[in-house]
Amino acid sequence: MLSVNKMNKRGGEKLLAIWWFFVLIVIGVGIVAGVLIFYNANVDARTLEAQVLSERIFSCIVKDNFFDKEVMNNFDAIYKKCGLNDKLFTGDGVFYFKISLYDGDNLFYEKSSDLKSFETDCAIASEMKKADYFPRCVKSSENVLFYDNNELKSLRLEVLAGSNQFGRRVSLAENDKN
Amino acid sequence: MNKRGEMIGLETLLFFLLNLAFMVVLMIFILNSSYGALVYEQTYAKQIVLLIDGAKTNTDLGIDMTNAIEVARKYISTNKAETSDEILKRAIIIDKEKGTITVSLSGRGGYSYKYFSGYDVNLETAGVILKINVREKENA
Repeated sequence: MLSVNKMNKRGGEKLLAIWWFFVLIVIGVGIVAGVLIFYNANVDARTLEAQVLSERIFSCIVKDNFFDKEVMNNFDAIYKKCGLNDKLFTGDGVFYFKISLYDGDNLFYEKSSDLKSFETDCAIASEMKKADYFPRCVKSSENVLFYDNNELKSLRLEVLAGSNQFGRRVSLAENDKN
Repeated sequence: MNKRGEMIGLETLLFFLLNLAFMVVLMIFILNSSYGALVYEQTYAKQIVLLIDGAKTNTDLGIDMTNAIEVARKYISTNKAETSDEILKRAIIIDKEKGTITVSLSGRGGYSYKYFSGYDVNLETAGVILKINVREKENA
């Protein structure tokens, strides 16, 4: 009887050791996950980026309060004129802008960069509270002057700029390759 | 009796050592994380990119990288004599073709962020200051 008890005790100890390590692993994984989630929290700079983009477009298409007519004649020249990397505004790009000129309530001129889905996504993002993966947009406007067939007009220039850039973690190997 | 006593002693020792190893690994991980390299990498990358995007052509900007250097020293600087410039040159990488800034303070990868500026951007170091030079592209 004594030997059976001893055997059970030894078996119980082993079981306890396995259970103990299982608990340790669960606690360890929990702590590691918690720390990683905390330190990997995203710092959202998309609204700031959209604001910077909007200001940049304003400053290069409005000179002395006059809207630059060259933009109307050749919209694609805006990338070079404003010093923008056009690749990021097309295809898999993450930036967007739209320029609208209003004569009173009437739309006088409107043109945008390629990624037109941004506009709808931005509208959804502004209406929904939880739309983390939708782009962030900034709309700003100011009054500008414009010569239309030698007639001086006062128009309202509206710039909608958006960003949906999420940075990414890269490995050292990936960096070395680049 | 002695053999059995030795076995129990060995098992206890192994049990103790495994527990100790677990605690040490966990503490090292938490200590490394507490330096905040992941957070600094992300915030510096975004800060540098925002400065580049907001800069007009022919602009020189400077950003104080003291915190980044301190964190990088804890991770990647094995050579005590390594200067701040050397650390910064290794930690801040610019890819002009893709238009990305990568900040790597931990030496185990880093955080990459794109800038939309189409200007020619160059990075220089002066002590703890990272200088950002924004110029018109020569072939533009």
